[in-house]
Amino acid sequence: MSNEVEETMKRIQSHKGVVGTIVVNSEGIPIKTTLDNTTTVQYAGLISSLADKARSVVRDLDPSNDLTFLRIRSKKHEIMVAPDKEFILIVVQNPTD
Amino acid sequence: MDGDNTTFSVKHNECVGFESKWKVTKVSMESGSQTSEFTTAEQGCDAIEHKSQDIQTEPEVKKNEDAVDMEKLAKWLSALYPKVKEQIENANSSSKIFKNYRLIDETIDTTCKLVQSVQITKTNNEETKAVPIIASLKWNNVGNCLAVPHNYQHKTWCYHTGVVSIYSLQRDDTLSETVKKRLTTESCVTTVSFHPLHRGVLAAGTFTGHIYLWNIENDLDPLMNNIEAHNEYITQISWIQDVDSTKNFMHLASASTDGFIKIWSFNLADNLLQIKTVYKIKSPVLARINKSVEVSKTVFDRGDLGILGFDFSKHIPDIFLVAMEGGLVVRCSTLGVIKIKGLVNSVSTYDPVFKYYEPHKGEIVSIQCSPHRKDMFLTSSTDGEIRIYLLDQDDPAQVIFSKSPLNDVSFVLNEEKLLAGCGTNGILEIFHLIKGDKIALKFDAKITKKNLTSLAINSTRENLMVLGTSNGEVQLWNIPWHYIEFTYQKPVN
Repeated sequence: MSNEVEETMKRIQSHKGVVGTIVVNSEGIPIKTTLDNTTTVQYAGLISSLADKARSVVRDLDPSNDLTFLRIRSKKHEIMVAPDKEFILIVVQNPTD
Repeated sequence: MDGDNTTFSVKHNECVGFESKWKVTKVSMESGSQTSEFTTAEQGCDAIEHKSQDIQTEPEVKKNEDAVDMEKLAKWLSALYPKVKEQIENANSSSKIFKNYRLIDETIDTTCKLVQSVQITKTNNEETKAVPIIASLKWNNVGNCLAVPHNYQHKTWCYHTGVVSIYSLQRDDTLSETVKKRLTTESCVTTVSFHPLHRGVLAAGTFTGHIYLWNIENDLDPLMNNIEAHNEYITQISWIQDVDSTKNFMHLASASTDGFIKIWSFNLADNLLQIKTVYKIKSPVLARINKSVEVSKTVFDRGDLGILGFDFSKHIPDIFLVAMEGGLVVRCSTLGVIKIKGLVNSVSTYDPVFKYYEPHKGEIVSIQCSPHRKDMFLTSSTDGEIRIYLLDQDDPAQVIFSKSPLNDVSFVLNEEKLLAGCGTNGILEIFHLIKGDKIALKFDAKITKKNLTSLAINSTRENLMVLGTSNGEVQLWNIPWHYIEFTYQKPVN
């Protein structure tokens, strides 16, 4: 099963512009990563708390709604976050334009 | 002597006795001393007790992975992958979310920069005196390859060898100085089109009505197919989507001055190109022509009008727009066509006409459906007018007048209010679709104006565009479309 996870991570990683992929559990602890240790820990902690916050914003605005995807565009990167109950997938990419 | 007498006297020896004491009673007294009793004490001490204990060590286990249900994670990831893929691709290609996003401190530079000029080199077989004209310019679907066919002025028939030069876009966003590949045909190439899904597949139409298909990724034998498709020269060739958009089929459509539009089904597995449908705009179309347009005698004698260009709607796959000789603009549909009787053809011919729009007063050079709005398309003509039509409206919704005739006009990807054009003015021209006027542009260098024949905007790097000239030059430009549009709205001092 771990192989299957690695396979999917590789597939995401193979997309043009993708710099790194991280899977984080609900506590913000990284489970799988393609980035180095320090960066992973930093991204995992910060992004998972941001995703939690974003989710609560969406839910507070409309209790029947839920956050499905979060994209953060910065000058250098774009961070895509796919949050779920148990895991969060973080994809860091360099926008091509 | 007297004195000496005194010294001498009579000696009297008297006995002196002393008690002998050589024998005395020895008095002795005994004395004892009591010493304390000698005692000894023994004391024992225990040595430290050692106990041996064995510990079983186990291989180190990653705690994180242990705690995670990998099966669940794998399932979740595989279910999530299509969505993520879509998002990544979206971000890379057609995402418009951030298109108007500008940072407050971002410097706004509206200068159009000429990045590079590349001169087409002729092959040994080509005439040395004739000046090559860039016939068309096309980027492939991933924007890393540019196809540049060139041809020559023809008085009657074409005796030239057709050449399509392939240039690659390098990492630093410049074109390779040397031609990556050179594809040759029996006569001049008039139009080319890259497959929208397979980046290496290129189709070309020639002056003599042939269609060539190449796979430019195949170094040994790139030619996939070559067929005689039309009786006259091919004015346009395009890949179109099947009417059933759920199927990912792409067909090839070709149009010619012989008045036919032919749809070919293409199978990549065996490189076969088979005729699928033939369309012909039914006579009498001559009556539809604007009275002020002079139509050549040959056209009149023939009774048909040739097709100068067409474009299939990306939003509604059954609708296509056709530009005909004499400035006619026709809306056609692949559904509800009428079979034309009396034509000798192996394949049935259909009349796809749905409606006519107000015709141009000159010959149409460009016809293109809007990539932004499904009901909008543009036409550009030698009468110096760029017209914006809405599908259901006969008259143009907007007319933009150009001082000099344009040879090519196109919508700008991601900037729906801008149109790019090039022509005899010799430099890129940008028009505002809503306001209907030409935008004044800033150019970085002194540019020598040359008659421009064709333009193409890169699909992945939208700021890059190429312009082709009538003397065999390809110019690569960097155009800041966002800023041009932005500053046109709100002039920045």
